[in-house]
Amino acid sequence: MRIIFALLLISTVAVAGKAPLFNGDLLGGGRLSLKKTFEKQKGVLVCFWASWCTPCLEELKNLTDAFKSSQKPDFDVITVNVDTPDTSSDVNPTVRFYGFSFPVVLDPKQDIFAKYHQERTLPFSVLLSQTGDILQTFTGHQDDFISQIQNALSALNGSGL
Amino acid sequence: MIRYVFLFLILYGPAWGTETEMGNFAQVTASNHLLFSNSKDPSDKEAQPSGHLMHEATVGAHYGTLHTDIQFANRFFVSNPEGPDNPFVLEKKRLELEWKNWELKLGDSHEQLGKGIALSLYRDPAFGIDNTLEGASIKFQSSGLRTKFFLGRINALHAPVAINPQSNPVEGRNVWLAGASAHVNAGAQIEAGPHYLAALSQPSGTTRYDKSWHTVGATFSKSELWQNFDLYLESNVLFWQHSTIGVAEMQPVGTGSYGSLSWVSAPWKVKLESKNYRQYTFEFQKPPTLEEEIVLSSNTIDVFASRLSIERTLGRASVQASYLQGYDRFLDTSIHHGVLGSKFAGPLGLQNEVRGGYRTLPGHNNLIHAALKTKLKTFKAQSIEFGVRSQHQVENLDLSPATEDRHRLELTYVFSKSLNLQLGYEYIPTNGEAAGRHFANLGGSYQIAKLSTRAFVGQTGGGTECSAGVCRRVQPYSGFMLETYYTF
Repeated sequence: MRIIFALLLISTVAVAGKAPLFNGDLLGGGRLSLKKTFEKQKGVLVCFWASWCTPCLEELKNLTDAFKSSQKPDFDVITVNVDTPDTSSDVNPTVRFYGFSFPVVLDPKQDIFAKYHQERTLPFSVLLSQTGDILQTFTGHQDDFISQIQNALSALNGSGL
Repeated sequence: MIRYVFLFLILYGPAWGTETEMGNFAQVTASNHLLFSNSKDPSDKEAQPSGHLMHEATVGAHYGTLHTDIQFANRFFVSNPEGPDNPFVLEKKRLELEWKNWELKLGDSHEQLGKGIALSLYRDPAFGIDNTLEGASIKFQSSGLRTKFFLGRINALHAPVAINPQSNPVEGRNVWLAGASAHVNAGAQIEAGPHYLAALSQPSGTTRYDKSWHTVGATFSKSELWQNFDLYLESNVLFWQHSTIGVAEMQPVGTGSYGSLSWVSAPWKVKLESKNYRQYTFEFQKPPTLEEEIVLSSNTIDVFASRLSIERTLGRASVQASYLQGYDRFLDTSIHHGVLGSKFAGPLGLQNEVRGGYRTLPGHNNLIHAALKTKLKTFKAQSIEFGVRSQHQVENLDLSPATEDRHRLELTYVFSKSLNLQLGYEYIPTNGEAAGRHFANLGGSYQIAKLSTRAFVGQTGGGTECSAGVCRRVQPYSGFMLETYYTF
């Protein structure tokens, strides 16, 4: 038992991390490279979602609304869909239904998802800096999702990093 | 003691100094998953609890268009140091290279053909499943064509980090695979193409094959078929034979087909799906089930079913209804399953989700099931969540308790985005005195930075558990468990 607690204690020493890079097939054809996204010199929000995950759709709807507003957030959004074959035919209709305009990377085997979040629970999002550092992770539905993202990016810009 | 030092080194050795950036293009990451469980079967009063310490780690590197990772695991029997253990099992290793329109994967990869009727090698951590192709796959993708070819053998986990792992499906044998697929983008959002799979099962230590499968299939998809209609069609034919020494016996030809037609026009979503699997006997697949994750899911080998589902949003609320009708050829009975659900907000910011249905397999298992989830915000970033799920088996209108009856209740308090505590209670009315009918437990999760921890203490009743459409029989559990995930 002592070993386990020692391991847990040591593992609480957190280290600032780089986001695992990935390339993936896009809904509608083509490929997306996370690394190339950083070339725009903007923060990137990677949102993992599934067509059956209601809180994920809520968050994406809120993001869509925010990007349609006059005060458009200053970060890019990449969504990674983790629907398995049972529900994968719902992805395209769901995107159209809600009018999502963000790129949708298809991850039916959840390989990308596992790299970021081994527990693979939804909703899950990761905010990355323009250099690929993980700034913040969001697990579960959070009402102040967008303001938390903007606060994190403001803090980053304020720090001059 | 030495084994713990060794474990410590392999657990955390790779982590130190991994968070480095070599130039602008190289990157090394590592992640750990640790699970400690000390438990016994609650129905066995004489049994002593046994402790298991399970661990898996993945170390990955990315350099330009080259990506590689390895995954290793170990499993210790803490209470029984003389028992079998694996100080180090190399589970998966992978090297990926992308160059222009080409993608090459060497080592382990999750391969799939179509919607998983012909082949699906997938991961499901709940049951310790992670089946991969250990070999090579090459993919070419351009605007008009997508092709893939792969070759290798199936690699399943040897030391799964899970409480109720599935037994290794390739224990005592090798299953070799060779497959190919091609999809042509014919314009107007049409994509179509064939696929082929050859599989051979070879008992370990022999040069003969005891089973062989050949699958030929094709898929067709069209988005925006007509005014927001999406269409997907797939069909497969399976030829297989079983061989004993010197004698090959051809088995009946299997067929597996699936189709879906979706129509979306806000606020409506309508979907019609159909499946027809006839004598389709292949282990490494995960076909669409069309079913909810309730117990006694119908088989995926010899069954026909169609389901119509309709969803209507009403402001922030929504209503869903679905009806499935089919025929289970194994049980020789029809299937009917109607489900009605709604999500809606109540007073005081209450968020509710209610879902219920009735499923009938005449002469077999008829089930009523219902679930309710409700969430109430309390203080800033805090909430209380209540969930109840109940299923009751009905046979010949007899409402007395039956085998698959289960009643579960969960109460969760979310203290912050990083901490929550959960109380659970399960009632299985048909269990005997020895097995017990009441099961209570306490759980919690805590997340800080890249560390995520879950703890559980108490009992669960076991029975049929389903995850992502896969159902397994799991043992009752009594004890405590501690699980951590850490990403470096």
